[in-house]
Amino acid sequence: MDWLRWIIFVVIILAFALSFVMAFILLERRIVGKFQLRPGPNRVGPMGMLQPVADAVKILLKEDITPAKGDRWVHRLAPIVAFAPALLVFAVVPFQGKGPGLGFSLDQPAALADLNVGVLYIVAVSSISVIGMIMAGWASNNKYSLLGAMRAIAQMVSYEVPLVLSIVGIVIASGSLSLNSIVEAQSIPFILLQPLGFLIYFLGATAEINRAPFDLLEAESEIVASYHTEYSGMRFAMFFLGEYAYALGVSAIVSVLFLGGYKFPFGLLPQSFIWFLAKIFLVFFLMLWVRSTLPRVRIDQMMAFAWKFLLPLSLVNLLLVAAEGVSTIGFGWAAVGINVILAIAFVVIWANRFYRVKGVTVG
Amino acid sequence: MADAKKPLGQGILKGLALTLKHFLARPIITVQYPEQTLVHSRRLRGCDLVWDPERCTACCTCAKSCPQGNIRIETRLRPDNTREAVVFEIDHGRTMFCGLCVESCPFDAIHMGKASERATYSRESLVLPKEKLTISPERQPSGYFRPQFEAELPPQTLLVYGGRASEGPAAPAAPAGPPAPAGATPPAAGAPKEKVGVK
Repeated sequence: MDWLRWIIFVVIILAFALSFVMAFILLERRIVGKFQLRPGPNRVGPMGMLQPVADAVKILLKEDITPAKGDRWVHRLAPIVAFAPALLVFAVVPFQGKGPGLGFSLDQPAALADLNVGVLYIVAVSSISVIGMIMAGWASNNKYSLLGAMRAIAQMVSYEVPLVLSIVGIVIASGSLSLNSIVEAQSIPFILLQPLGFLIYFLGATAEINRAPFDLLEAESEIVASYHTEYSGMRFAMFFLGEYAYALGVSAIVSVLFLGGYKFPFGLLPQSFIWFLAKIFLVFFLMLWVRSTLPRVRIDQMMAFAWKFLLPLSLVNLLLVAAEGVSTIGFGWAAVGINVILAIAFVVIWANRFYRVKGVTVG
Repeated sequence: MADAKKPLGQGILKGLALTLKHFLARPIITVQYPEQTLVHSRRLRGCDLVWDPERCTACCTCAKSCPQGNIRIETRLRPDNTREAVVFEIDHGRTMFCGLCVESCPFDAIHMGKASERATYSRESLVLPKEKLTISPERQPSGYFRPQFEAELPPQTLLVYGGRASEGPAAPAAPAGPPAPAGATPPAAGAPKEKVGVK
């Protein structure tokens, strides 16, 4: 029976991930268009809904070029290494919990594998894509690709630190590394209990998946496309899909860790995967909102933001959560009040440490 | 360390509020091209040549002056001993719009056109016969160096000049007032309506 369950879930996850990636590609263009007071792609199919299909058909027909003096096998392997971890993330994401839900009930959590080290698994797996990036940059035999790949790695490694530290706060509050237990522990969504952690995780994850305003690796308007400069055809599409798959993964993880996953807020309605999907869209909308508002940061600003702003704040957040855990405050509504006020205070105080001298932020 | 300056982060919040307002409450401001179009400048030289059968005497000067041999004319003698063009074709796929035919025409019968939509599905349909070369609302002559045409052409509507796009059937509802010709070229006062003259 376990085999059957695994096969079913692999099919479900593949279908879910790929269809949502397609939807995200379209939604990003439509929603960012709406933010910029233009309609976005609306010609192919009803409301432009077949645009991703048209793009896919077009890109499949393109020639797949390998640089003549590049490392051929590494060049071919790199997009797969960069794309596959994005799908692996969903192996531990719970779609619905055990027990009665909206419409039907389950005798075990609806996830491919409810790993007891799920959070660790996600952190580990999502870092593999860095290897795909350096492979792509190296194998292209192009110094700009390699420089872009090095920048990408510097960015991802830097943001990994505050990212993981903000997850540790969640783990302390829920007392478990399993994603399903983390969802079950959220009678109060952790975004209220740890607003600072949410902010750090969201910003760090935005930078980690190279989305605006931290997309300076593939800044369309400024430089060539960094490590995937030499890619074309389906291999380029793998990188492109990988980016959106990571956006989907981050949306799902934020929904699980901070928004209460498949639970309706405060348990007002029975649990269902529908709430989970709705929260994924909500987080993705938040990303698009940030993208369409903020201009791109410089590389030094990006590094300074990770090491000087997010890292100290994530340590403070960790300390705060740990102190609440061992004290009599616990993780109830009292902690929510304290943490919301303290989060605003910390952000404002810490932001005011930085000031401008002739347009350069120092601190 | 923080002096009396505004704290960092306010601008981000303001920006987020602004973009959300745009997302929720603002209508689309771009011109929806196939449904809506802007009227170009009256002096635009598009990718088009227009021909006036009334003025043409079928002298074939334009065909002889064409460096590419793009103009094909077959003529016929009328009963009153004048000539008319039975076939008048210009290959719009080959022409480089040098304008030598326009300059050479002794009777001002051929003009550079204003139309710019020249996309077709086949090369053959770029060879325009004389029915398609004549002046019509879609195929206006360019007002460039031809004040007699410029005075009659519709004024330019560009968003930057405060004009609005002419609206087709699928366009959103908007007051269909006369387009404001605020920055468009004014009609050439006292422009001679008659023939400019043979050079």
